Amino acid sequence: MPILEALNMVKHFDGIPAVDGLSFEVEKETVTALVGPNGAGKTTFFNIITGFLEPDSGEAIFDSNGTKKDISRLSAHKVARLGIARTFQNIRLFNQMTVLDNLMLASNSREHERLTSTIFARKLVSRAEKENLDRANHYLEFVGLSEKRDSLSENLSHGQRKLVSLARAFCLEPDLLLLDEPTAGVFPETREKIGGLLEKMRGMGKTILFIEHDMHFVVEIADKIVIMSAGKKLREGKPEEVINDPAVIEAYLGKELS
Amino acid sequence: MEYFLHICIIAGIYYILTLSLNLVVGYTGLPSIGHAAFYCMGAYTSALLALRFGISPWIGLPAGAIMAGFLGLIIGLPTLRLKGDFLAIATFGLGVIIYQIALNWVSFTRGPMGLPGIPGYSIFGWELDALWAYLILVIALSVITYLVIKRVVKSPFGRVLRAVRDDETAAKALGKNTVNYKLLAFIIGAFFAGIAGNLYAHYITFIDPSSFTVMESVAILLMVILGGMASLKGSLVGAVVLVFVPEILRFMGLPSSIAAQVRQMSYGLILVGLMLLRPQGLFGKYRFK
Repeated sequence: MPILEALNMVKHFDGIPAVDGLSFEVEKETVTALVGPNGAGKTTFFNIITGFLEPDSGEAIFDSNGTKKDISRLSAHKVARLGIARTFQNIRLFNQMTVLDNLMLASNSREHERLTSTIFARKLVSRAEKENLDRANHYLEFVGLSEKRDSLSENLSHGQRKLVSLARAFCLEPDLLLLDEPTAGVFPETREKIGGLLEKMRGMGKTILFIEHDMHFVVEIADKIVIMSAGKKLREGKPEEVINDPAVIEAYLGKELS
Repeated sequence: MEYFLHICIIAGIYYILTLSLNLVVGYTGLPSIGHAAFYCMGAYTSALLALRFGISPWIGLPAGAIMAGFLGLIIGLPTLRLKGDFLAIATFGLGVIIYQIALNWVSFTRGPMGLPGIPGYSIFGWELDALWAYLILVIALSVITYLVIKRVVKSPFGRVLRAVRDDETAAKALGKNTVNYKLLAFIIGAFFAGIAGNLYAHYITFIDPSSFTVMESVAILLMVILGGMASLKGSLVGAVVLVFVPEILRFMGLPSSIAAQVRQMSYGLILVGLMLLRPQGLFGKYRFK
């Protein structure tokens, strides 16, 4: 059963198509990779789904606990509240805050963050904060960065920052995770670690859609690959089928994988 | 001694202004150069209520603060969708507009003639005309302002404000309605600036638009930056230093015609020096990016 269906998604920037009639499905509890050359429209597609851009036309049907809903024109914070978490290519941590604060901000309950709760509902706030703290500590341990919890996030290395941004998305405990190049620029050991984390998340019933350039990584962990080129879907299917498709090799890989 | 108490009262009023602006600029990252507009609103609301309707400053205090907060809401709704420099320019424009209204709506505000004879505070018929008594009132309200703002910034609500400051896009992706948070921070800041305006009006007993120029907003912003962004302790230091330092200039034997200019110049020098040497201010926990 699909958790997300993109239907004929179109987005132009000044007349130039960035996403040009894209349709595909993301099955529940699977890992899907969105692959394609630079400028193919992958991040634009993410931005439409997560409410940072509005499409010119098309729909994105999200299955939120059994109720299907077009989310393509919802604003970003509303999409997040439906259970869709995303990470960014350029990480976007709250740089001048601690790692722990970054994670504690990723909370599904919002009552404790209201101004009125601060004044009138201190019990509710302290109870919610305890849950927040436990969850933040749990996911920090999950990504193996417990010892960094009180560091300012701007003082972490690139790989650590990537891991914190993943942990922050996990903290929202979403149904669907959209990860924009989760392994870009990290060391091979960290890449393997991230691959392991994604597999664990799938094991926990999460659905993951991620953008990635490293084909070895994609083949290793994705259940399905969607190849984009110039805003359109070129192919989709199981990794081993897709990467040996001559059209794909020509458009994106340039040469055969050994 | 009288003189010293007077300076302390002024410093206390500026402490409230600095705290309230720090919430907006330091904690929420909204560059506002129009804070004097809310200060003005609080002062004129309370002064006009007292002069026209004989309403006690104790009523004028919340009334002025609420009017200032309301002004914050009206101004914030359209402008808070702007980012960075654009917001700074928009709030600058707001400062000019409020100043011009106070100056030109002569039938209501008496324009440049100002409002003389504003009554002072009294408790059970006992007038707070002794300076030390007024200082106690100012200190009490400063402490309340400090405690409220501290509670706000230390709460999960305040954590969202800092998140909006650091990266609004990421905050949205975590489900925060960032425009609401910015608006609330702006309104709280305006509310407390309104309290400072009330204290000023009923202390000096005379107000005119020249107390609420854009230069005034810049001075308050300078206190925030000097003391340190996102530091409540810094706000105290910033306000006290910038109120006391120009007073010291008085004792250096400068003729009064030059002293005012030297004061303005010292503000400029402090700002340039800070940006070069310590852009986060003395106790700052946050830097401009």
